[in-house]
Amino acid sequence: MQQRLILPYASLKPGRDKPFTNEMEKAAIVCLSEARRKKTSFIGTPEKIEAISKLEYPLWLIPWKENCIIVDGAALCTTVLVKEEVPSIKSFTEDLIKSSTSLETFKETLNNNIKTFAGFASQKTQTLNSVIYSEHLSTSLLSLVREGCASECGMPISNVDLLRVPEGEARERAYLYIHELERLAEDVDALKFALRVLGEQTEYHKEKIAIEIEHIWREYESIISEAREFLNKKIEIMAKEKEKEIKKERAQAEEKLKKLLQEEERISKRIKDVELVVDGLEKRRKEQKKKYPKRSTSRLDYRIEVEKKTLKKLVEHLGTIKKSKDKIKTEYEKRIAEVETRYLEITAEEIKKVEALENSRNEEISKRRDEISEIERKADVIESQIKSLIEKRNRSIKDFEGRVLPYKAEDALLIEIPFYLVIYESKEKKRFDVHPPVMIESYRGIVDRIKKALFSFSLESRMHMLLSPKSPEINSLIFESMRKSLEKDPLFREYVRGICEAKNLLKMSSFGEELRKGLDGLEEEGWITSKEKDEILKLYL
Amino acid sequence: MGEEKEKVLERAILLKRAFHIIDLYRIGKRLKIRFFDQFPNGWVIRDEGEAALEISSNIDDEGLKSIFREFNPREWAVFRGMFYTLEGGKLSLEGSWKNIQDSIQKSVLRIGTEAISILKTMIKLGGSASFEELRKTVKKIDLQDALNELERLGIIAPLYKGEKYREWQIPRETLPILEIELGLKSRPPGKITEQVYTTGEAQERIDYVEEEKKRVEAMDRELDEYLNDLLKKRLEETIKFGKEFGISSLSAYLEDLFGPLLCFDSLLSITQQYGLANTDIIHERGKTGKKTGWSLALFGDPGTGKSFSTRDMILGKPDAKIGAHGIPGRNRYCGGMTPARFIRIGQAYAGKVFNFIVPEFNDFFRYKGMVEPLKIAMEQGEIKYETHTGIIGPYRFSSFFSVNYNVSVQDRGYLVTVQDPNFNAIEDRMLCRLHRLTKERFIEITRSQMKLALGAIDIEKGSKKIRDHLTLVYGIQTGHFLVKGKFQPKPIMVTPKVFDVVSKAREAILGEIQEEIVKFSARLEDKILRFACAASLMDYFRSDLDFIPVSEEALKFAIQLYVEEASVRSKEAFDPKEVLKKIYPD
Repeated sequence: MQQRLILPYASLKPGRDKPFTNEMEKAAIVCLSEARRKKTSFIGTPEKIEAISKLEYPLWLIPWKENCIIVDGAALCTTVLVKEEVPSIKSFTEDLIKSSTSLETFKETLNNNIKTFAGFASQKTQTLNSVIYSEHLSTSLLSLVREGCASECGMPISNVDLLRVPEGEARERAYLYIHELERLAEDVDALKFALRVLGEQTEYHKEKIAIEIEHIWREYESIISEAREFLNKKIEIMAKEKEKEIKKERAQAEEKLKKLLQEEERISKRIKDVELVVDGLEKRRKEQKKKYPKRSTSRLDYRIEVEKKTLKKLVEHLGTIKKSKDKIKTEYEKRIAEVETRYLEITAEEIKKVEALENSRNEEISKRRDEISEIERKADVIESQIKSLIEKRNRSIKDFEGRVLPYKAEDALLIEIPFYLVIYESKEKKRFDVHPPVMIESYRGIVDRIKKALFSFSLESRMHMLLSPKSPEINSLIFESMRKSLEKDPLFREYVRGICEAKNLLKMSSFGEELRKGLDGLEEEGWITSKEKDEILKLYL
Repeated sequence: MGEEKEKVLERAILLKRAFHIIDLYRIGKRLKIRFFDQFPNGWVIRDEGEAALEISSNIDDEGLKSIFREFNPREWAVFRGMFYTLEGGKLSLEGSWKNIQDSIQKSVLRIGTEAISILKTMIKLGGSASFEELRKTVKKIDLQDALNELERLGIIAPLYKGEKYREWQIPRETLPILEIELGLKSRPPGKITEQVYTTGEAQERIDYVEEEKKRVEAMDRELDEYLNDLLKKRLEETIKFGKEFGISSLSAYLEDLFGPLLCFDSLLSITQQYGLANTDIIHERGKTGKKTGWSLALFGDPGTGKSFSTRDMILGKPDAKIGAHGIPGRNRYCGGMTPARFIRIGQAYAGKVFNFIVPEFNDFFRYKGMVEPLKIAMEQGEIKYETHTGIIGPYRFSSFFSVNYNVSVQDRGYLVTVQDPNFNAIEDRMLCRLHRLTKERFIEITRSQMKLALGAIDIEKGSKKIRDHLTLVYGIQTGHFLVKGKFQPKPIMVTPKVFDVVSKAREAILGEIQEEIVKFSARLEDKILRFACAASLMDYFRSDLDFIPVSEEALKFAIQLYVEEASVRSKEAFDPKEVLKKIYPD
């Protein structure tokens, strides 16, 4: 048997201690309808009330996990979803897996997908007929459902007013909603999968580059080591060559110096000899002067002069030899310095070659490290885009979940929301008025506040004070849709009119008695005057 | 294993190779296989192999054909099994093993028997190998050409192609036939082993930790042999040397070799080696809880001789006639090593005290997420690191580092080229020394290089004596079995005077810093204290006491380090020479 939940039409506001009887409810609706009836008009004929009926609006609660999806049993509400498609995860991950064998292809894949996940791939709308997708409604409905009482109604479900969506169809429609929710959850899993594959592949390539770095390092180590060995041998050979050259220079210089030294020695000896001759001649000259003062010393003088000239020349020659010696020494030192410098330069050149190899190794390694940084950077960009899409999807899921009714039902449950429908008739047209469920105001509260002024308000205003809307959300979402459908859809209008006719309170035998009792109650509470009561009774009985 | 079971396993590999996981899920759902009901969608399946095996177990050859008709296989996937072949997206219910056998014959004709060597090496290495690995065993032929030919014949497939580094693999489904054809297995053709077809992906990988453990063993042997040789041949001589040796004589030796500027770097790295004995530091009332070990970082402009001091002076460079000064078998060189590899091999050193020489230390920090485990390593803490292939550790790292890294030196202070903000914390855990390439330094470096190149410096002679002394002291202090009982390990005693001088230095430094914020941490004092204690170990044979007091000269060097380091960290807010004058007026 179908589980049904029938909600009350009127609920008492807190503070109201007196009951609000069914008769008072009907009488209040009659008062309100009468107050809203167009009496006279410049443009049309006056209206009369054709029918006042109490009907039920059907809502299906289709269980899903710990909640229920709300499906409009009257098929008046629709939900339009904006569906955003995530980029193809399969294609992205396939590219990543495929590129695992080549760094170049992997980098290409990263480049090709650098903007893939910057946003959703496409957007389209989907209409979910009858599925009610409203966060506010679920909150309001939950409080109403808690007021109602579940019952296994003996009445066949086909008798429920306005029920145009059977249970099976309601389930199908709810499934579309659930499917959408599952699709969102699957998108999150798919995006997480993409993250995992991206992370794994990035790590894999980083590891391979690291191995390549070690490989380069080892390769260069052996080349550099060989180069160093070669360098050392070369330096050794060059050092020997240099020594040979220096030795040769030294031998040449020594040879020259040897000759000069011999000459120097010879001249020095000669100088000494000449000096002795000069000394001897001067001595003889002195003795002659002493012994023979008047004898001429011209011959001796001449010889002294000649010897002194010779001596002078010899001394000058000795000076020249010394200079030559110094020159040879300087030249020798200069040549040696030249040889040293030349070999130092050659050595430095050879050292540079080894350094060039080291630099080349460092450059190659640096290039690989840059590659690691590059793939890390690009993978990070894609990763953050994917994470952003996951976040958006999670928000959508939360939103979807927030719009279902947090009510645990064992099986599909039909909720019936009572309302009054009034049909006004004039010569020109029929007009429908809907009265959704209400809260009943405490008589004492209102009267205490505006006791004296109460009757200065119109009957309609007073009835609105008495009957305040129970749920503005239900009114705006369900009954507003109904009003619009009644206005725009002639077929629906006819369908409703038929139901209304069958349940017309005005044509029921008990109506008179009930109206009288109800009006008495309203008068007693001070909502209507005795005159108003009499006028209504006169009109409807 | 029956043929049907073999077929099931081969189909599973084929399905996994041919289809994306989401397709496998769809196939599973389409075939109403219950295994797939546990998943809300295909994206959450973690084990593709298991999914493929489930499908494979539920179909026969006809079913397989209809799957390939209904779902598009990967165009690029290739499969050459015993029962099935997939090429260009087309499935054939004919196996490829006959073709593989023919291809092996052809490869021998075209390449020669080296083809067999290549394939055997690959099988030995678990089915895949790099060019470098193959080069070790295959030397005679043009290896690249041979690999291209094997690839063309469909016997091997590329596994990874970098710019300079390449790997090839033998596809899993052809491995059994190759093993049989190459005579590695005696099983008759037509049979494949279940082991090959396990659904897990884990391939046999090189066990780096095991390899490293072998290296540690070899290093231990190196130390034992060196110490044994020393005790037999040079003990008297070393003790005699030790009675004269100390940090001042070490400094003089190094200054003589490299000049007054360069000598300090090598002084630090050699002193750090003494510290590796990790001797207890005590004070007059008992233990301090500190030990002599510390990590060293030389940083500064490129080409300032940092690597020379941390690497060449310690490990030696025979081709340049530079003798090793470091403890034999206690220095692990990490040139070109990635930090992930370092963290992995670190397991082999758990609980041991070694020194890791890391050139270009900055490069370690270019790898994401490496700062944290490195920080733990510096603090000698417990390392646990998660990689995508598994978890490394936990293990306790108890070794030290001597590293060098490039920084851009400014007019005042320096800029670290490492981008990670945590790097300061690491820097804080090492004894640092800034290298600025001044003209004076440049001249000293070029002069030394030239002298070394021309053989004008003979570091080998001096290094031997120092290394002997260092190794003997290390052996004694660590209780090495070869010297245990012959010599007594001595703790290092920090005297009140040491604390007085350090306090005096602290006051002098703080007095010079105008700002409220001090840019170096209190750890600096701890490090210089360790330095002084490590340097004092050089005095082992000079002291007859049962402890070694911190020597005056060691303390002086330590204070110099303290002041200079504080100056660098404070962006050279004061002149270290001025402060040193205040501490040591005479």
